[in-house]
Amino acid sequence: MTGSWYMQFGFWGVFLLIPILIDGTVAFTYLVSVILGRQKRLPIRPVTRAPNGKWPRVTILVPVYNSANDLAVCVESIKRQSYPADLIEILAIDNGSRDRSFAVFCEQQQAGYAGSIHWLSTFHQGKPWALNIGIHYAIGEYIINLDSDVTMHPDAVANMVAAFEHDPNMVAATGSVEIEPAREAGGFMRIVHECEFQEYYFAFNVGRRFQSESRSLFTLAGAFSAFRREVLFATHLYDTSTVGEDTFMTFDIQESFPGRKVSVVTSAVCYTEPIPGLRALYAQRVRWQRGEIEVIAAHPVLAGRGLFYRGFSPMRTLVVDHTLAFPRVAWTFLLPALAFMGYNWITVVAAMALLYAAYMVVEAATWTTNALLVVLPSSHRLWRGWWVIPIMPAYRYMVFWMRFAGTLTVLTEPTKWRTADPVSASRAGLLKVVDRVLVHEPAERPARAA
Amino acid sequence: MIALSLFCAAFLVWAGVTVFFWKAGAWLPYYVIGSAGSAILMVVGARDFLPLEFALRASTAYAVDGLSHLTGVGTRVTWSDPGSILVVGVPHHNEWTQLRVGLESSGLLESAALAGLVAFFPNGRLLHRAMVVALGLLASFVANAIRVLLIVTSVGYLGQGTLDVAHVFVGRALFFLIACVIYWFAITRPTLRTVHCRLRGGPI
Repeated sequence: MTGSWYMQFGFWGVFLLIPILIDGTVAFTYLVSVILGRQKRLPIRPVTRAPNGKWPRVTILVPVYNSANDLAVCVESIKRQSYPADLIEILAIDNGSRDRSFAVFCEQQQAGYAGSIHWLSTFHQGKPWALNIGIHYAIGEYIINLDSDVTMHPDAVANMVAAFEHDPNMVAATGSVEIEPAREAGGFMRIVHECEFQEYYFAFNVGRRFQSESRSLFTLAGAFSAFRREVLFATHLYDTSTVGEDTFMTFDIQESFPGRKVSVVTSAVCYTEPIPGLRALYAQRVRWQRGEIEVIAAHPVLAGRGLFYRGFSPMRTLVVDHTLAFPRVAWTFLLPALAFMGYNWITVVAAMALLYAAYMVVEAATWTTNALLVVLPSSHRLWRGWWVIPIMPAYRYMVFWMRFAGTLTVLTEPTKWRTADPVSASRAGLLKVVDRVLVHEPAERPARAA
Repeated sequence: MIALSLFCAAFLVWAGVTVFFWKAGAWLPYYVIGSAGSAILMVVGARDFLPLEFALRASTAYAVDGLSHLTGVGTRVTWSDPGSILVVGVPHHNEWTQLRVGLESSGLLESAALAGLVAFFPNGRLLHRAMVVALGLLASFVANAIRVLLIVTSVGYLGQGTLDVAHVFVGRALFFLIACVIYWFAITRPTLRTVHCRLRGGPI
């Protein structure tokens, strides 16, 4: 029915163009909103006076698992907080470490601190177990969860608590997680780290801000989130059956406190190391994807809310992250296959190039929104990182495949934090085949006969 | 004969590689090679070795011909080539448009993609998956017929000038929306049910 090459491209490209349109609509909506002033730049300013006249007590929970390398830096960043130290309680909760974590903690404890600092242990391995124990021991009016491999901006706790004190309707909030510059990485991993930085910055400072506004915040970051104490006790605490305990908690709060605010406090910033390698990135994204599916499946009432539900509707996220992934997978391979079915190679290649260009336009909009909202101390890095715009579509595409693997492993593998990447699994499978065919079978047969 | 031999060899290689990745627990390459490879093999088989593409084109043409009276557009399927639909131009009654249901409008690629994606998705038993594939293919056929009907109606009422827009954009977008609904019911919803049962030990 179609003759001209652009019509053919339009026809076959629709299956890939529509996801771009969805991404593009979101990106440009955010950009236009920022340009129109609906979201403003919010500088990180030290809060010097307690909003209600008196600062409340805060408990910071730090789950520890083989954290000897990171724990000291994390605890030191808590000690450097501008928040009154005598109102901070640090609970480091070990869940099965086999390294020097306890020794590192002891050094920190003995180094002197005006606040209180305690060590708890549980035999149950797993972050949710550690957090649940910490919640029971916490005495603060606000409870903050902090991963042991992150460091906090000196004003993070003060800004977080101030946000709660100013807004009695706010029940829980996530801080903003940023990627630190890599210390030693070069070449390909440096590019990945810059993409990761841009991705995180957008996710926390733009995406979650708009989600908060529409009362649909999907995940309170496990790395740095804060809760009113009574809110945590009104939930089922952290769930241990899924790998998405932070998303699970967010869902529980969204379900238990309809109409209350679950938000992001962009002036409460913490910093985390960039991902060390592609294998770690794969494991992380697989875990995120399977966590998302598991948590949605565990909340059938929320999952049953329609696409056009005003407010928190996980179905929207699921359609984009799960349902739309399948046509994208199919057409990634069928589009080039058209060249073998009588279509012009040039048309097919041009179609793919145009699709990439369309994604670059979306990324340019995303970067511009970031650049309009970015504040010190991250602004220089973000602005200098403009060169990742043409690379971001490739990075997101790589991440898409990693997340897609999570869509499969949620069904094929039991719930666990670590998963074998396809290269390692294939290599192990190949070795098994070689082992069976070349080594063991000829040797075993005579032995059996004997 | 050479083509058939090559096709059989390609099928055996594809099957061997898919089974290897399945056994190795490398789920991503298993699924990609299984679903995309099967879709490509199905399309090649349906076009070159079995008259399935022709059957699909003809049945689409007849289905649209049968449904077109609902929109008030007169159509006729030509006997010499059942893959072609003759559309009567309503505004000018003397304008005839011959639409040829080719690879693009037959829905063959979309059906093959859907069948591959559902059949190799590691959720549920084989029999259940076969049933879902069958229902998905039926739904795909209906969706494709609706898409072609939309094109026919557009050409019938608005003239030949709307053919490209109706075919490339409106019809395609409509088909995409219906395909998403099919993917939701064939893959996403059963996934939620399975995961829910595993996590909570009961039906969703």
